[in-house]
Amino acid sequence: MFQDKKAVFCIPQKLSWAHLTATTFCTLALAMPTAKALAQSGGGGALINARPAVQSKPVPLNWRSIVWPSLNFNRTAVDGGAALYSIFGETGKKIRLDFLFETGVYALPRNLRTNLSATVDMFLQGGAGTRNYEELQKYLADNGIQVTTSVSSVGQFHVAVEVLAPDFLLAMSALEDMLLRPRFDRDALEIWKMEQTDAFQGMLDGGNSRKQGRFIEQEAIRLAFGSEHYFAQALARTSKPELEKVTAEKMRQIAGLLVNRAGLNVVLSGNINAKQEQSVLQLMRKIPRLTPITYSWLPDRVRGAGSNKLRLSIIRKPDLSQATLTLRYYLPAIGKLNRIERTRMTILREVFSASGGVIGNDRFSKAMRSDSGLSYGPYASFDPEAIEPNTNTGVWRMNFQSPNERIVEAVKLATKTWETFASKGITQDELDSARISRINTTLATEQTVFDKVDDFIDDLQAKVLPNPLGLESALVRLEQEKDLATINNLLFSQVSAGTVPVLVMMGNPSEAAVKELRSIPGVEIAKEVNFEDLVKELVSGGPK
Amino acid sequence: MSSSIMLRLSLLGAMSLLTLQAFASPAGMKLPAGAVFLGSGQAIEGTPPVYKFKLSNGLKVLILADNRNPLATLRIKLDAGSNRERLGTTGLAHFFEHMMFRKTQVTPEGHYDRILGGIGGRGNAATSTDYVVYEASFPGPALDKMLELEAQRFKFLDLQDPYYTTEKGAVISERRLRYENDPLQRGLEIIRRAAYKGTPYEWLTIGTKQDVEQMSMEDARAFYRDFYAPDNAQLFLGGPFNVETVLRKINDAFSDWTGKTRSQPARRAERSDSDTAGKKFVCSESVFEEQHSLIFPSKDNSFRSAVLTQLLLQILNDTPDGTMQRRMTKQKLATGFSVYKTSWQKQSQPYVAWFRLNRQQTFAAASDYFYQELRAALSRPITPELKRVFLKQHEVEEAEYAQKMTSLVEFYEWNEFFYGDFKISTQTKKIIDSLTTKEFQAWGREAFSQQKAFHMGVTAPGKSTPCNDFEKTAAQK
Repeated sequence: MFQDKKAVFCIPQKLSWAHLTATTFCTLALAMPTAKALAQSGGGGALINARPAVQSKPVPLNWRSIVWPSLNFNRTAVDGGAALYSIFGETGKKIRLDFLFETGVYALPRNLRTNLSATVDMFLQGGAGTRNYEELQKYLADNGIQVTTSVSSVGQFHVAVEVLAPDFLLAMSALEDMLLRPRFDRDALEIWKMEQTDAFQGMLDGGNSRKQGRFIEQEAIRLAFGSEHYFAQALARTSKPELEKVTAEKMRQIAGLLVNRAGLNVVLSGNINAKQEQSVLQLMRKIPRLTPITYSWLPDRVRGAGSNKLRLSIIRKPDLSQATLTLRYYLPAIGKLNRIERTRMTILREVFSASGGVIGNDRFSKAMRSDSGLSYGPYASFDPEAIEPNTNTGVWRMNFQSPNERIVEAVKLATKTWETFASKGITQDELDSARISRINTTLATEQTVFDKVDDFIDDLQAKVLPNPLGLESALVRLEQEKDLATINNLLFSQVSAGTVPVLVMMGNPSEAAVKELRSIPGVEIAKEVNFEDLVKELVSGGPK
Repeated sequence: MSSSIMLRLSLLGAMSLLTLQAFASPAGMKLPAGAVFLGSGQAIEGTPPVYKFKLSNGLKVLILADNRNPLATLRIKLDAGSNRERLGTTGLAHFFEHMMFRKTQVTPEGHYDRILGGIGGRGNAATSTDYVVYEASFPGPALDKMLELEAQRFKFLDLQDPYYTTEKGAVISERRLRYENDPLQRGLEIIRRAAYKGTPYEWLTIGTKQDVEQMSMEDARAFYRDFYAPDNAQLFLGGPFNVETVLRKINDAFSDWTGKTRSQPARRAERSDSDTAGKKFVCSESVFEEQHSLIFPSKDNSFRSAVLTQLLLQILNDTPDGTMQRRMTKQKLATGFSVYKTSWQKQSQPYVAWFRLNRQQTFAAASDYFYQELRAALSRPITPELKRVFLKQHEVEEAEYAQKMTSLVEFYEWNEFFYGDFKISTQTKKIIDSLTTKEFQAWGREAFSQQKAFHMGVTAPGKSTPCNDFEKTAAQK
């Protein structure tokens, strides 16, 4: 129902939030007319002039008074390098089952990526056992079973099932067929290709911000990583020439590598019992144990541009009255952040682009929206693993819009906001408020057993044991971050180690605006391209 | 801040408005002065009950005490969507929603965000044709502050420059982002203007370009005065609370919110059948994906009709050759398909058959196939197996809602706002169990009568009149 209107943190100015208990937050410190008194004096809806409230800093809520239930799981090893994790959650009627196979994108040759996508989809859509897809779809619908097949963020083959507890064994029967007796029907593959082609063609009009965003993303990666980079070719991999290379034979070969007990992790969660657990173990034991396969390649690391100039790519789309932009500062030498550094980066990110609030009171939203009215949805983020699963490159991303007639102003404002942040860091007030906001946010977390499973799966994929004190540890780490110099020095050291700044704009800037952009010191226009030409390039299979 | 035009009706939302009836207060619960207890209960088995009250100023309050997490959620919904506007002030409901996050007479600009951020909460709002809703999720221990924060803006909003003008810039940006720079939406805006001419549904929730750019502060103040009144609002609160205690707190914060809704303009969306039946409202834009809808006007806004629409979709999907969408894909007739009933409050709620086509496909072939399959679906017997599957899917959907407190609150809010009964979905089983084949067929033939349908669509270039020309022609007429 809601679009992702950005949530925002506040920059506390002279807030004077008085001390509060855990149950009464923020009583105003200075005397002020209460809302009730105002209503009595002026009547409801009357316009009343009153002195604005002056408030103090926010106060952390008492998280120590809350005992979070520890994550409780049973691990059952299955010979051949597999394990079942059972996580019981008594609330709710559903059961969820996740199969995470070790093999995936980075264990197979890079040129099989489109084929891998097809294979993953066709485990379901290609039919299974005695059922073709239509029959399988009906069986699942009739029994209220939801099945998804996907590639995880680290490239693994992932199958997820959700079902009401009494129907669990019906789901297991379908799952066994899918994993052990996939059909990869040829006619179903043709339909898959048709659907993919339609989706690809539909994207090419660049008609809305979602579609435009995919082209902008491609250009940003090209600028930072080069056109040959794996991530820069994501769109081209869905083009017709690539789809035509997909065959049922290759899919069967790939499927034979994916469904492997070696390295398989299975998570069974929800309202489960021993019988259901046993049925999962039985299926796991039926999955063949093949030679373990692990990563054979990973996406290339960032190629430094050789200069700190902000390189700009302009994609011209004449029908746009407003430009959509992404400004990014890649940090190629960030290395793998430890937990302490991650906590500090969370605070820095909160100040620059916050997770709470609505219309904009962090540095970036305040500049681009609430003070200037330039942009409806400015949003900034920090990603410590911009080329996951490689972990050495981070990125600050700033996405925003600008009316064509204010493009130069918008670019100057966005870059200035970043540069001020990167060179001067944050203030003690900002640090204190951001720290407290992040602590309090933990109490506004809604966690079902399935949310906990999502975190658990992340840990499994990172090959670390889940921390039973995950929430509390994060809170304690946040509480410790009070030293301004330490936090700012982390930001300064990352930036001084070198950044790769890129800016991509899709819009219709005037020639005068382009000329003015070109004259901004430190800005270099690296590319100007018509949207139509990008489309033509993609239709023919991407950059040659 | 999203604006939406037609919200797909959930199976679990729906039905005719029930008259509010006061009951004795729940056992042992002391109510604030003037407050009335309106009932309690649960719509989904195994979830906590909801308690419904009305405060002395007319504000309806629904409370869900749910202790699963320290998180709380507060949602305030008003019958103040874009169907309350008139030509010349379109977009006001949505623009006003933006302004609610800025300054009040008792707090400075940016106060709402600062406090919400400080307590670790998240907020949002949405405006549709029929409503505006403000929502915030926050730590339960911060309830007092949150109630104070919300009450301040509902009681003492202050519309002032420069914030008014600045925020207008953000709304203009939003309009460009969502509509002006999206050829499909541009086309749909023009089509809608023609199809719903003379009703409050002829303009988009975001408003016309001209109205948004020229929106005056006086009009905005009038909108606040006319529609932001407690008797026009519903407050939903969920979280780890004691019902009696939080009712008292809500009463303390909101009972002095005074004022009455001053105006309730007609909200009719339907035109007379002769204006639309058999008509085509179709034009072309530079799109690669076409969208078409067959609209079947209906005055039936009952929950039953919503449930039966879902059942119809299930029957259309229930063939050995795959779901309706799958069959249309295989036969190269469409790339997307759905059937739903529009959610418009307290008035007509048209049925819609929706199609997405690629450039090679034609609407004529897709709609012919739809009518053919519709006839087949309406001639099938309603068997116990069909009913079992329907209720199974209903149970799965309920389990989804029950999973999270925030989802449950949204679910109750939907039912309460559109049907005046937060427990309305408990009617589903009864409706399905008692349904006969004859009743279903009679309903379906009336609801999806081809004679009264009209066609709205945006095609690829060359397949229909360009939208700009279409609009000029429509204006001349």
